[in-house]
Amino acid sequence: MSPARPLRAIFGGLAGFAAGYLLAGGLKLPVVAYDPLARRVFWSAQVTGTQMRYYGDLLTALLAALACALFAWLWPRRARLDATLAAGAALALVALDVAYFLSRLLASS
Amino acid sequence: MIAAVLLERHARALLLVHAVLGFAAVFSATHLAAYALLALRGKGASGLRRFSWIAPLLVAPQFALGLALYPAYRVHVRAADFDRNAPFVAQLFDFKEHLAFLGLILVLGAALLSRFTLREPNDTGLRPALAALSCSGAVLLWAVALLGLYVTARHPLGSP
Repeated sequence: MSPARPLRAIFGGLAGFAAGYLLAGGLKLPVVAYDPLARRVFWSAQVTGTQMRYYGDLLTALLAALACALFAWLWPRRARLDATLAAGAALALVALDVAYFLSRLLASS
Repeated sequence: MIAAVLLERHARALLLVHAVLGFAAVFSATHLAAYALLALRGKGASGLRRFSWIAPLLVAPQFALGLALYPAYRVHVRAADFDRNAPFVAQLFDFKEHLAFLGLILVLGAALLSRFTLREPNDTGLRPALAALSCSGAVLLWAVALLGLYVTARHPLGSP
């Protein structure tokens, strides 16, 4: 039997990051944005010109990863963990992210 | 007149550091994946231990440097050139950034998981998960490196 609690937190964090990143970018959720010309940080869902929302999307994904890792850590201890299944679930979410961003790239061509 | 953008004066030097660190990060992630595959057969424990800290130690600062350089790229390369002359390359760079985020998190996850794999040598259930995470992370980082090289060849940061 694996040391379930920290492992659950790792897989939960991975899945949370992938889901959070996809939701923040896909749904254009309001995030922290940055204007490099004005050197201004602001809160917005839409960016224009040279403004960028990468930092905000990343921050959102990291917060989602932390929340999911914490939730997985607090999950009842007796629950068994199938590491292969958990890794598969996390990788499926990552693959969904890649497919989404690839579709956006191809749509722009 | 364009206002001073974060790190723009040192952009070319930092881009070189970014490139060198990038190769080191990709190769270390590849080594981590190779040792994770060896671990499936119960081999390569010392290499796995070594690259479980070398890979994140190289990938994380490489990623941070990329994030720090991004504003200068956005203004001096993307807005000044790609958005007008090569919009697909601009989108390609954005795609590369997304892959980098995902690759980073997979390599960090694989590095953490490898510590548990080494601590529990009799628990063979962790090894396929480790191999899957580390190989996926390495593949994503290779894609990031190749796309980065292509975009840089089109218009390097720090050149007019």
